[in-house]
Amino acid sequence: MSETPSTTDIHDIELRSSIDRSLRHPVMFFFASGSIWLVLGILLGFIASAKKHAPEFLDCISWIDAGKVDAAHLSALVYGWGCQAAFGMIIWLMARLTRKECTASGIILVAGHLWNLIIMVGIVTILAGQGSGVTLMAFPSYIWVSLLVVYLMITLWSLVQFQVRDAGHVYVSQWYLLAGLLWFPWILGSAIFFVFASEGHPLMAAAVAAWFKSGVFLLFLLPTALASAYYLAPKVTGRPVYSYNVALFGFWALAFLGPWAGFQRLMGAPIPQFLPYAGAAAMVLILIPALAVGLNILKTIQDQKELAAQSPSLRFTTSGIVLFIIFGVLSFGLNTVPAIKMTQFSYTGYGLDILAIYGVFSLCAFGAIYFIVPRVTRREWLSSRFITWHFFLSLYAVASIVCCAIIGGIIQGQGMEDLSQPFGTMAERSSSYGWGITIAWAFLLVANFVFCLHLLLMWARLGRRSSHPTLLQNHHPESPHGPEGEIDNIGSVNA
Amino acid sequence: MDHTRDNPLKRFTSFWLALLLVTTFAIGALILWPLSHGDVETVADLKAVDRLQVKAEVQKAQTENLNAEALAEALANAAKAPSQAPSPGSMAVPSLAPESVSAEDPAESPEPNN
Repeated sequence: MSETPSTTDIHDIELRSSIDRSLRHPVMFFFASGSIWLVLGILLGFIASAKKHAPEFLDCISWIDAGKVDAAHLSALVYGWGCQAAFGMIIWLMARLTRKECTASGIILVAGHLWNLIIMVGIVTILAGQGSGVTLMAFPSYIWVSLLVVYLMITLWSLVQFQVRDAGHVYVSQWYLLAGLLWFPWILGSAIFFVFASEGHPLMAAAVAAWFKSGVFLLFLLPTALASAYYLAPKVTGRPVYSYNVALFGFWALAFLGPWAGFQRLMGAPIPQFLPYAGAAAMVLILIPALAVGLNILKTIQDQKELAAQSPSLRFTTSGIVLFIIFGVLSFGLNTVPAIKMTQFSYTGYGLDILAIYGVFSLCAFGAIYFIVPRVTRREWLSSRFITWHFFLSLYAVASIVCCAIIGGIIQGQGMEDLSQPFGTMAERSSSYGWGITIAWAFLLVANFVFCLHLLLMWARLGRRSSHPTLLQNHHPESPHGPEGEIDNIGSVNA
Repeated sequence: MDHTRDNPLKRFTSFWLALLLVTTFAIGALILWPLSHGDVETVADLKAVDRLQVKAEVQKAQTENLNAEALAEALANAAKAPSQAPSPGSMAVPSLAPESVSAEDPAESPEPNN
């Protein structure tokens, strides 16, 4: 710790510091506005969940009818929070890994404002009853093209950075970042074309929308989360990735299986029958990349359990990866033909969606945010207690939502299949699980309100002026985030 | 900085290459759209001639078999018949009990809000 840094080290620190400075405003804007959308999305999720088992809840306000609030909830969660958190992670990780400063932060910032404006218009339109009614594409058709254009304004610069990178090794994180960057415009463009622009059969439009819904997670949010995990696990532990070959296998397994998934949601519908079966098979086989990535990341941090407990970034990331394995296992079990038949029209699909968006993606994104924000703001997190609350409440709430939705969904499905019972019996059986989900959303709301507040304080640069990172246990012999004093050192170097 | 890989010209070309790459699908779709939506004959189109022929035959048969005079007579009789003719199995409505509330003459009832 007390060793004098060499000239190369100082140059390296200067370079990293200049990269962080170049991205400070766009990255913080994406994270902060994303966290506000997250709180809003969870609030809407709470209302939507309550309306499922208590339809009279807030029935005096027509703007938040059950159908509208459900669509607004998922849209706010995916496009308001998920995409913006992913943008912040992508532009920062790509700049750091290519070791190139961002020269277009102004354009990215303007595009970030536009993205928020468009999402706001979209959510208001849904709540006003003017949405398209397509799952996860509930914004009106004219919104989608503008979202795609703004997406390009935000992410093209990362592709340019990758192209002009210094010659050398391409990191595992960069594979995932690059794949996510290119897959998203493909799936979004296809979905816009086939759902809104094409004159094809409406049933195929519904099938394409189901494919898009699956693709947003498997082909955009998940690769971004895995890029962050593959960056943070070696970075914080100071060890290389456990196996390069397993990483390569996991990447190509996801690249091969991801685009097939989604059509299983229309099992039994009059569409070409190979499509739902191919989708179900792809979702069953998602367990393979989940195990490959999980094994690789967990093996990388295997001997650093204390570090994983201390570092907020590593703790959130590890939890996200463990939940990815659980997602793979549940996907394996719930996408077999008998299971789909039983759970197709129940809470179960919703439980898997929330596990994917919040459990896997968001926990990895929180890990990245707890790592990135101190570097771009040059301040440390104010309170380890806030982080601990955020972690445990998030984990408890997401576990409750997933358990209640999956068990309740199976019971719902059994009730629907049991033709000797009236339909109301099925609703009565699953009602208590609906209550469980609503209460879990309330816990999640508290967790993310704390997180949002903490992040906004950091954005206002009210964080601690210290070079010691905020850890979750204070009795640590040395920092898991590399040499301490790096921020102060570079400050003095620049001075 | 490695100037052989990173210079303004390289960044400029990289930008357009990236734009081309992410819009490849859209460009492909635009090219393929006219090819896939030209003179495509769907199953519905193929069956349309037969279907219209059947429809015309049915309409012709219906018109020929329609007895307009009998229909007009039936309608006139229907207009004369009581509006609530007793149907098989129907029961007479029991008469109201004398001096019950329902049996009171509305004119004798107290005015509302008095």
